[in-house]
Amino acid sequence: MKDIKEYFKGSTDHSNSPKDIKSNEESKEKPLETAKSRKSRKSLKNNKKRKKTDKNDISNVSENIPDQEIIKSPKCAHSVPQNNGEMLGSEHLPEDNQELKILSTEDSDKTGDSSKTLQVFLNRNKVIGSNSPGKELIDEEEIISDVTREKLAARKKLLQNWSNSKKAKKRKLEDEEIDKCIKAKLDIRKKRFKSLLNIEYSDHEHSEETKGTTLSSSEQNIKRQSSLANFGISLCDNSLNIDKIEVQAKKKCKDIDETNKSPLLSKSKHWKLRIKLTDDDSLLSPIEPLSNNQNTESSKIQQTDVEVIDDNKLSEKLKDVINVDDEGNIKALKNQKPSKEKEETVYNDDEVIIVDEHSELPNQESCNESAPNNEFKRTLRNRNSLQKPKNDDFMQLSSDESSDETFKVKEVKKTLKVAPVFVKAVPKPKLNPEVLEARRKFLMSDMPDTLRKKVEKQESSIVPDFDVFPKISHVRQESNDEHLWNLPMPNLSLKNNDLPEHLPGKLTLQSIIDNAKIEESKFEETEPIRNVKNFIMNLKLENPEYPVYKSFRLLKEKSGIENIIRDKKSPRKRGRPRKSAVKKENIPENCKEISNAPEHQMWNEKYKPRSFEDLVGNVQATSSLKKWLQSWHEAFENGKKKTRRYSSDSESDFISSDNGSILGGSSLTNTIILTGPCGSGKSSSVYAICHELGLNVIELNASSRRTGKQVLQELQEATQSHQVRKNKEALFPIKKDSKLKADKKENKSRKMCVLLVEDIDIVFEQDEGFISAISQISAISKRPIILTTSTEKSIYSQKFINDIKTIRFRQLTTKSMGIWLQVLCLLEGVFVDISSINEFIEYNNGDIRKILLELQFWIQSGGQINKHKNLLNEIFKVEDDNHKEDSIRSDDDVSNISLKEIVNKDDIFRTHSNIISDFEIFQLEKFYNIPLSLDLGKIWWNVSKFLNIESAGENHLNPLKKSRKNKKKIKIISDMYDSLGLCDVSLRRMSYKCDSPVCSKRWYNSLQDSLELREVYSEYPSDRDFLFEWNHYLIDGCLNICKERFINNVPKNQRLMNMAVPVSKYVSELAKNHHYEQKLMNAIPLSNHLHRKSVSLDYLPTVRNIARSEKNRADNSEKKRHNRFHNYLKNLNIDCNNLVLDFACNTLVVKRKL
Amino acid sequence: MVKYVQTGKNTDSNAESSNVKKNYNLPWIEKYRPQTFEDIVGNEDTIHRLSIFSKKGNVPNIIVAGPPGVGKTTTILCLAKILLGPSFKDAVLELNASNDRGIDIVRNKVKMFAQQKVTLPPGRHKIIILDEVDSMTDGAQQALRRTMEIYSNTTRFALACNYSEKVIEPIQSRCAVLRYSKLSDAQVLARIIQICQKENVNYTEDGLEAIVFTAQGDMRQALNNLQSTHNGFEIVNSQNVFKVCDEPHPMLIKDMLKSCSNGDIRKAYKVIEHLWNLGYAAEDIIKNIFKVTKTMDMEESLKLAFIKEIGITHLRIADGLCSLIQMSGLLSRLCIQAKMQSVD
Repeated sequence: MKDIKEYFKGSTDHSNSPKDIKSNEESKEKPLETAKSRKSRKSLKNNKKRKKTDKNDISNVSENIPDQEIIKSPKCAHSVPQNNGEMLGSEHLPEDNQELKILSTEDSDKTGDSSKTLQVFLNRNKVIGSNSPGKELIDEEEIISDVTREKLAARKKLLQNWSNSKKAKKRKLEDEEIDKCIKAKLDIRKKRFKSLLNIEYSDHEHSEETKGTTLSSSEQNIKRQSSLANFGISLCDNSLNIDKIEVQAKKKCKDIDETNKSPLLSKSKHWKLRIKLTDDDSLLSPIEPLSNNQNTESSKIQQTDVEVIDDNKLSEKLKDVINVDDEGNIKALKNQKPSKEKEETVYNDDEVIIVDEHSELPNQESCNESAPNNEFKRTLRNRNSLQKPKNDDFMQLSSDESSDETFKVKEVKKTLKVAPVFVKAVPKPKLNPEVLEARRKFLMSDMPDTLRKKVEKQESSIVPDFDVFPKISHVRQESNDEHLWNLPMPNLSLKNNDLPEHLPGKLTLQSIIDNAKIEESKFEETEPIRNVKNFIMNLKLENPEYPVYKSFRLLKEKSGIENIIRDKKSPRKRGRPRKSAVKKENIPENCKEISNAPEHQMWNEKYKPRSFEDLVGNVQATSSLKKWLQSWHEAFENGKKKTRRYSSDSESDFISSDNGSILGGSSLTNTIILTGPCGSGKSSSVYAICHELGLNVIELNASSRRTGKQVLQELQEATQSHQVRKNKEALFPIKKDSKLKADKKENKSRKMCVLLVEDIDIVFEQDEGFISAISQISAISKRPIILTTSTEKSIYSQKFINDIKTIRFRQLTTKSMGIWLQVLCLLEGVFVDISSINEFIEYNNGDIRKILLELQFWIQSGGQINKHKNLLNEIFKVEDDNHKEDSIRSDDDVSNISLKEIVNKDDIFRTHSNIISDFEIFQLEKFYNIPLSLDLGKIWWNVSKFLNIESAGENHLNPLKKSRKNKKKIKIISDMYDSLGLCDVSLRRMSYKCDSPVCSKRWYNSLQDSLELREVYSEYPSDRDFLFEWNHYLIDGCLNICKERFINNVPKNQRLMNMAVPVSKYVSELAKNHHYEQKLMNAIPLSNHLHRKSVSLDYLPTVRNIARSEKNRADNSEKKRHNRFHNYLKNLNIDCNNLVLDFACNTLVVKRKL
Repeated sequence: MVKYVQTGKNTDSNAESSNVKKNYNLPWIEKYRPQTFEDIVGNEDTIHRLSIFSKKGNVPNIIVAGPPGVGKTTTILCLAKILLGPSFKDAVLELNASNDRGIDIVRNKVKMFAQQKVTLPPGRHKIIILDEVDSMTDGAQQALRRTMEIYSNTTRFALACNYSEKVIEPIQSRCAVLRYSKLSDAQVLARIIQICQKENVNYTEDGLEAIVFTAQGDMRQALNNLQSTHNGFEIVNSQNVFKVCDEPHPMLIKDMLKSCSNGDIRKAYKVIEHLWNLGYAAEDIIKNIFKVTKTMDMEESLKLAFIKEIGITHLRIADGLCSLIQMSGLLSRLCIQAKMQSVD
């Protein structure tokens, strides 16, 4: 900056030295002028006057000064502000800024004067000269300008050198300023257009109006200005003047230093302008719009006045225009004519002639004019929408404010002589709107906020200026006389069917109705069982091993009966009275709890285990969990006792450390993970055991957001607080009272906390850092942490399973749950057939929670009395047989007292059964029940039993007599299996579920759940329903045929087969078989796995043979060599032990014996 | 529905007229949506059980699964209305697939609702109805699972879905899953006749038969077809019905199958070509062939063989091989099957 200043000074000095007198003159004049200008700034007229005076000054100066001086004059002008500033005081003071600005404006006026005079005269010296009173001046200056033109190039170079020396920084600033100027201009123009649009009622009017305003303004100008030359000059002055103001305005936002610089900058710019002008005539037009732009800026200041003027003038002018309107349609013509008329009135004869000439050639001119006019209209719209205000060409036409009029007049004149030039200039290359936009943005980035806001406001206010009802409609309206609207409808006849159309014929409506036996509900209201005790006794008799009474007792407590029983002292209770009794008694006692009364709870809540004893099934898992928790609890209690003892005995500082060692020293792991399918009782066993031990459970589940941060925040305290408290005690051992209090409080509130983290395999995207937080906590925790997961396979649980003690839960089996459920049902007033309970358990995959819920649904809505009463007796027999093996295999010595001997017949008929039918859909009541939603695996398991293959094995597998009958049988069976296979293929295609062979897993193996976030609609193809339908139909049909043809002699006591549930007896065996085979299969190259024939006929038999022969040898020779093949297999990377080989020996052995 | 209208008459004639006005432009599926359990057609057993719960209260969480148009949503709404009566508005939160049901909603909105306090008579609980659960993301379902348990004292869930397999197992484990089956033709027919009488529809018996055939146990579709046929053609006969629901005509297909079982492939091919030229998609044709085969009167074993072949062809079509060649291949195989059967 200093450099610049110095340079500036230097330059001023330099310029000052040759023309002392002049600068002095000017400096004297300036103050006066500034005062004048200050007063007159607001009004246009005054402004013009001021310019006039300026001009006069300049003209004087130019008269006086020698050639070279003129060229330098701008420089002098620039030096003036400095002088002024010196006169006023300090140039850098901010208060002076305005003055400086004004001064500089005037300076620029001068410089502008000189340059523009040159410009104008160069172009139009003759016409103007003839008209203007300032002709003498022009003549003189013309000569000067000739000289200057030669010098200009040299000047330019000099300036460029200077500017170069002023370094890139300055240039950059300059560019910026120019850009800003442009931008500001654009903004203003926008504003103006807005106002324009507001004023005007239609585009059409607008065009007239603009002309009108031009006229008015031109009139003003003409009145005011005595000479055309002056007029032109003043215009230029005006424009440049504004340019300076612009620059200054920008400066205002910047440093004072820059304000100093501005004159220089403007100067150089100015010079450039001038040079351009001198270079080429055609260049004029580009500059003219520029000047116009600048004019618009001036209008910013004077806008209010101008508008008033406009409004006044408008009405007058419009009248004129309308008068002219009658004469011609071409707008341009109209517009020009009034202007010409005005000119005629004001200007001298020469002018008139020209104008006449002009009017005589209206076509040409109108062509020139009308095109831009039209374009202008369009641009108006464009401008609003695109806000690309850089259409300089059109601005020429659209200019409407008083400051523009001069230009208008000029334009008119131009059309006289320089028309071709002007026309050429119209399509002046616009700036690329994108570039402009980018530039604008760039500039905006530097703008102060207020300004930006202002601009934005302007923009936003412009946006809604769309033409709501566009004049040009793109929709053609229907008119009756138009031919096109009355075209006849095309006669598109459908392809003629060569087949006779079949009318869907005979009504089978009646048949549909006839066939449909609208099933009456099988439902009967049942009375709750009266003699619960009898049933319980029966149960006990049937299952002496099972703690029937105990479970009865425990369940009774929960079911909320016990109060009543105790009160009434009668064990026989009807359900209904019982319930009413409960209500009666409970209401007075605890009204609040009525909503939580057991009978309003879901059964899974109601019969939730409350102690270790309560837990059903999973004995191993639960006991190990209990052990672990107990050891923690003991350690905790010990620690508590010790602290108590220590604190009472001695108050030494090492208590805390001791405590720490007690917990830390114990080899307890602080984290444990429970895995198991849902409904196997993971969480509930945790709660039950904790309840028993008196521990607090802090649960963290997936129903709330659990990011790592939150988890750490919430739980760190909980897991650490134990220690923190102790430390506090240790820190303040002296304050006995407080400590004792704390101790007491602790004894009350202090239960050990157990942190239960549910479903660690569920980690959503939003739960960032959850797993790491858990592992972090588990690393430092002083409390036991229990994690649960239902899938061991997920990445998240895998992380823990590997290095944390894992307790695996399994689904509950019929063995452990059947009788318990039966007791439960009894308590609820319904005696349910054990077999159907077992079926139901299997059907629900041993998911105890679901079973309880569905039982609740089933029993509370009345259960289902078995309809087939005549079958009942036999059913009981069969079931007794079946279930001795299934569920109570251990007790062979059960006394064969059947149920009916003890319970009277009434009660037998009240036995409920067939639960599944209410939760699965079976199409028809057949010998077998196929669920509508096919599960091929289950059907597959059942088929063998269905076909009686196993039981009929002996006669069936007796060397098949090659009878026709047998052949047919085999064909039917193979058909059935074939269609099973087909269904398997088709279903597997549709569902993602069957990713493993049917029998490789246990039947309850479930699908893995993913945590995808998107909603899935396309998972099932649309024809899935269709697929299921035909599969179901096919299998149903096949089984039906089998039944008809193959199993003619269905034993009468055979109960209905339920294909929805696998026959558990075979499942485990087959699964084991498959499992071992799979292990042996590992030896076979993978590519051969697909070739099942070779696998089952070649490889596996070989392995079996080897195994058997090895076994034989081992048995006979008693050498230790029976490990040999084991080793061989190991070498082949087959993981197999003796068990596998043994199994290999035993498979299919039975058949061989036969 | 009868009751509904009657009560309107009894209470206020104005209300009734406004009701009629309001109902005038309603689609019939809405107009005749059952309001009581007695009006719900089909699945009587389950619905009866639910109606018992509607009196007693304390419904466990339920999932109602079944094909479209069998009254799943209707049942649940019925249950909720009867259970909660006037407090239905406060105590029911209904979210269906059109609502946002992401994890956040489940964790916030649903949970908040479950925590809300609403005074209800004993045995009644707030009900959260989640329609079309199977379209919920797995994540959202996972987030739901513990909420269902913890607030079971105050809030019960009633879910409806088409495929219960798409509901994750933990959710299924916390609900009693009730399965609905397709309605039988007779059930649909009975209901349709009822509505025809109420709406004064001109119908022929074959028209109703056609509607029942096209609906395939979907009451909603049956009603929609009935209404559009009525509106479009005034008279509901089979011709008009098949114009409305543009399906390959079952009679043509029946002819085709008959000629197949006679081993006359030329005649059968003519039909399939005709259908093909009418522009039906292979999938539509094969589906209708199956429908017709199912109800056709023919030997059981042959029928099964036919269905097996149809199934195989359907698989191929599902794979994208939907050309006339596949269809004619099907016909030829059907003919072969018929011949083999006759040889046996």
